[in-house]
Parts: sequence; C-alpha cells; structure tokens
Amino acid sequence: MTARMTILAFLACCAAACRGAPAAAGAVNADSLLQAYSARISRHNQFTARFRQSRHLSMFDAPLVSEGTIVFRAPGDVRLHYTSPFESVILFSGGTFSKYFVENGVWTHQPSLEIVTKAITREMTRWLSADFAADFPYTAHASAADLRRVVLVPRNAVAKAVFTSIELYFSPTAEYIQKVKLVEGSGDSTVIVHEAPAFGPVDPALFRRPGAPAER
Amino acid sequence: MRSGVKRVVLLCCAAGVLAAGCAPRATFSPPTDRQLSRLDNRLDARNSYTGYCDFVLEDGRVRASLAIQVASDTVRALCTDELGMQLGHVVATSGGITVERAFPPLKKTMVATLGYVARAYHMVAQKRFTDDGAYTAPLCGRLWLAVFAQGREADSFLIGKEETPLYAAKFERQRIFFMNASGDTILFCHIR
Repeated sequence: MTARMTILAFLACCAAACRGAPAAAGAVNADSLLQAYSARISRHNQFTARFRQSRHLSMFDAPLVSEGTIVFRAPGDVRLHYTSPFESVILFSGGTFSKYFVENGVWTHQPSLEIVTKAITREMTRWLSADFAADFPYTAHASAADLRRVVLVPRNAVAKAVFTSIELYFSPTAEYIQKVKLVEGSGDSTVIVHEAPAFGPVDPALFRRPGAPAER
Repeated sequence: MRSGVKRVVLLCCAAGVLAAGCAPRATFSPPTDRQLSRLDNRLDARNSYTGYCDFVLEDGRVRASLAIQVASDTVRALCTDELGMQLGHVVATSGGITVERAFPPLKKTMVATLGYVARAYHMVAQKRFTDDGAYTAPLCGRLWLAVFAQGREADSFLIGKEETPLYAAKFERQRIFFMNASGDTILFCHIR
C-alpha cells in the first residue's frame, strides 16, 4: 500500500470517528480517533527521532531548552539521550529507570531524585507505543477542526496535580506523535517536538548502561 | 641533617608556600572598579542564563540544569532535572533569600548553594556595595564580596559573612566554582 493510500485509509478511520461524534458541534469521538492512531502507530515497533524540549515557565522570560535523541522499542523501552544543556541519558527499560551523565569523559550513574520523572517516563512509553487501551487513565478530547490534536485529561487526582492536560499532536502521516505539550495547573508547560523520525531496527545495546565511547 | 631529609623538608616547605599562595585568603578586600566593570559587562548583556550545575552529595554527584534570571531587584536560580521537573528554586532580593522549592534529598545542599548562586548574581547585578566592598542584605546579615587576594583570576570572589567566608565563588569564563571553607568545590555551574 502506498503512503498516500495509507493516509487515505487513516483519514477514513478518522471520518468514522467523526460520525460517532456526540451532539456538540465540531466534537469527535476522541476514543475512536485514538484507536485509529493506535492501529497506525503500532505498526512500527521501534522509533528513533531527534527531540527538542522547551520548558515554558512564567517566572522566566525565555524557555529552557533541551535537545537530544529519543529511541523507543515496543512495548516499553525508552532511551532519552540529552545532548544539551549537558549530556545525559535517561533509560527506562524492563521496568527499571536509570540516569547517567558524562563526567570527565565517562558515563556516570547518578541517583534518580524525582519520582515524578520516573512516572512521566513511564507515561511516555504509553504514548509512544500508542497504548490507548480501555484502562487508559485519561479522558480524551478532540475536535473535527484539528484531528491531529488529541487532548488528554488525567482522571487520577494525583496525576492532575502534576499535569492538568497532555496534548498529543500526531504527524500528518499518523505514524508517530510529532509533538507533546504537557500543561501544568500553574500554566507552565513543556513542549516536546520530535523531528527526523526513523522506524528501522535499533541497537538493543542502547537500552543498557551507556559506556562505550563510540556510542557518544 | 642528612641531605635526603633536608630535601624532604624543603619540598614540604615549598608545598606549604605554594598551598598558601594558591589558597584564597580569608581577608576581604573590595573589588576594583575594573573587576566590577568586567562582571557588569558580562551580566548586563542579558538577563537570563542557562547551564548546568553539579551538586556534590555524600553518596555521589548529581547534575541538574540551571537557569538564572536577573530582574530589577530579583534574581531567581532554578534547578531542574532533564524533564524539567523543579528540584530547587530560590529567589534573592535585597530582603534576602527565599526558598520557593527544594527537593528533599537535595534540600540542604540545594538551599545553600542555589542561594549563593542567586546571591552572587544579585550582588553583582544590583551593585549594592559599600566603599569597602560590603554587600548588605537585611535578612542575610552583612555579606561581603571580596577579591581573592592572591588570585590571578580577576573574577574570583569570596562570599561569606564577615571574617567567616562560608563559600568562595570563583567566576571564570562561563563557569562558576563554589567552594567550601576547605577549598572543596561543592557546586560547579556552567553558564551559557
């Protein structure tokens, strides 16, 4: 099937989601839409992209920007390799979370301090694998005006205390999540943009402790 | 005295002289106009700085992103982890230091060191110096910004209470080293 045909097929799924829409004008059945995206994204078991993370804080004039590479392997392995503001790696693999940074040219394990970071990394694997199953702990919202944007509102009060909403922006080809916006109750937000995606096989060693100089 | 013993004694004396010469002297002298001007040039160019800093804890070193924002009478220093979660946030004003947030495992070190980062920038940004180099912040007591007496680094300063330097802040190009009274670097900041 050509790329154009798959996009057309996907849009047909989206249209089906719109037909199941509630009475509100412009609203669509977001759950059906998510299922359509899930079917499309889950065709790829592995995903690599560059990312740019912008943290927008009301108390700072300019956003705090980090950049790096993300590698994902279904069902639940994710590796975030930050290259700025300093080189570090966050690994979430086999249910284990670990962090490393480079010190004097050597990868050094550092204690993970923030339990919220672990939770967010776990949630990232859910989005990346398009695991929008029935036990999905969010209420999804979407609008016919922009089918590429789905807004997730946490159902859990504890999760809500961290993020009031999570906005997912799917790529035009619906093959991956192009942008994620995490919005906090204070109005502060974090935007993560994925660029130059690739879906080929990734080196399993990437999900182990970094150490080989060649990897850098 | 045998020559070998004499050589050892001489080496020890030389090492002692060198150590004394390199160590920051715990006496305060005011920064010169030229030194303040150099820091002014560096700080006035913009009002926000980002980078990273290392916190040395008993069980290892933790690296965090660092952001500093200088406003009219406020300097904020914020540390976050890679995903942007706040680990520590302190605000320095002429009224003193306020801790907005400090993540428990880092609290003690974070409050002290981020406080000094913010304070150091506040000192320079606000130019609240007396003629003898003192900086006064009502809630912090009388603090001093003084030049390393023997330091060849023109941007090296001691920060601390009068006659009891708690920390030394050594400003280099894009780098600040905060040291305790023993000379150990307890916080390293790399500023872009």
